Amino acid sequence: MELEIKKKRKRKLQTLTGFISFLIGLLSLAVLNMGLLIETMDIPELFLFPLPFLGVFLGVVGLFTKNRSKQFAWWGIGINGFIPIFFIIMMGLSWTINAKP
Amino acid sequence: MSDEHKQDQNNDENLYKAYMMKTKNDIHISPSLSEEEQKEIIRVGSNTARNATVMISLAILLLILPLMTLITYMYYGIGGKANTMIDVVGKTIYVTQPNVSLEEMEIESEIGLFSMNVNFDTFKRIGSEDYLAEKVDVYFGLNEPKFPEKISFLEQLPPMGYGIDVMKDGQKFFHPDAGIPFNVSDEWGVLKGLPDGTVAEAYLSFSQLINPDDIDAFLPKETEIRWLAVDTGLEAKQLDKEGVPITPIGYPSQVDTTTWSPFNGREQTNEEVFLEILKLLEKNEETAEIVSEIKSLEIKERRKYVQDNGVQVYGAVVTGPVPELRKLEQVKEVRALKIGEVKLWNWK
Repeated sequence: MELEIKKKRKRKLQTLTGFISFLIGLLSLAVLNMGLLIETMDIPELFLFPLPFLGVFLGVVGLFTKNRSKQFAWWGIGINGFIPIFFIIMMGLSWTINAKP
Repeated sequence: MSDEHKQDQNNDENLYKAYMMKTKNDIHISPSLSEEEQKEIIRVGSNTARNATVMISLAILLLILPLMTLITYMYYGIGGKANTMIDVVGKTIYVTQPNVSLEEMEIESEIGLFSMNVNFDTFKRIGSEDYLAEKVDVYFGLNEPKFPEKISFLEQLPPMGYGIDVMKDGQKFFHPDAGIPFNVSDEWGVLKGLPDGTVAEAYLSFSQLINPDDIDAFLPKETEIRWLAVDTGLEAKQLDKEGVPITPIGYPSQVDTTTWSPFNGREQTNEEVFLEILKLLEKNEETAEIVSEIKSLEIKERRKYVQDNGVQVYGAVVTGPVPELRKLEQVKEVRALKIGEVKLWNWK
């Protein structure tokens, strides 16, 4: 019977890429919130497409990292995916409401 | 029990005791982590969990506003709900406010959280020019409208309030079978007192119901008919079946060549458009009543009456130079007149 606990047990850390992806998502989301609060759709494009796409990419990379928790990677993919989809749907709906030539 | 068996049992017990002693010693001697290390693990674990919870909570908080905005846009956008509301607001103005028009292209809509504001300007034709009448802001909480907020640029402000007396005082058209609650000669006196170099809008009440096409025949040449008040069966009493005052409904008499105007005369006559609008308002009567600030429109009953009896008018808004309007006193078809807005000469 082996009662000893392995002394050199590795802690399950977050993936770095997943965490960066999550941070990018938070930043883009914060800028999106600011845009909505000041009622402008003139949000810098960087925060709507390039950064979220980078965030999704990093999140996907984070999913393939072994022996690491993938929690932030999943969140990063979710948030960064949401932002461009949100913007595209909003643009589409804005065009249908009170459309003028 | 034999001696041999007893000896075996003693051996087993000794073995068991020896094993237990060794195990106790092992546990005592060799815990793999010191107390410090165990505390460190717990500390790191709780920090990690707390940080993750904070970060994810922040993300959820930041998602609330975009998600609510998205839901609101989907509510108004999918199925054309917002467009219908805007349509109802604009068309309500045309049929409930005499000589008032609006620029469809200039109707603005702002969507907030679970709400929408519809903003537009209304205009009155006085003489040959359109004057800004009101700036109107209608708030919708989802699909429930509130009474519009208005900034009026008119000299004659509409009566304030919604009481029965207030509404009666605001009446400007009178059905041939209805009494006229003011002295008609006083109004003609007002017209005579206005300078010749002015233009005005006049609300005429006819002495009988008239076909819209026959009105031009008796009006002075230098005037323009702007709006026709249609007999809908309730005007003689000016009350609906519940005793609530009703106000006139009608339609613009002139074709508006603006592409986006419902009365652009391209596919339907103004009469046909009027009936179409009544059908639309019938489905959205509550919105129409609030937008027009009229307590009772009774659209269903009135539309049915108009469809069964045809469009017959009992009043009209005309505009033109004041000297021309004075000639109306000699027209036997005109039973009463109320002067509306007056402006300096602009007649072309």
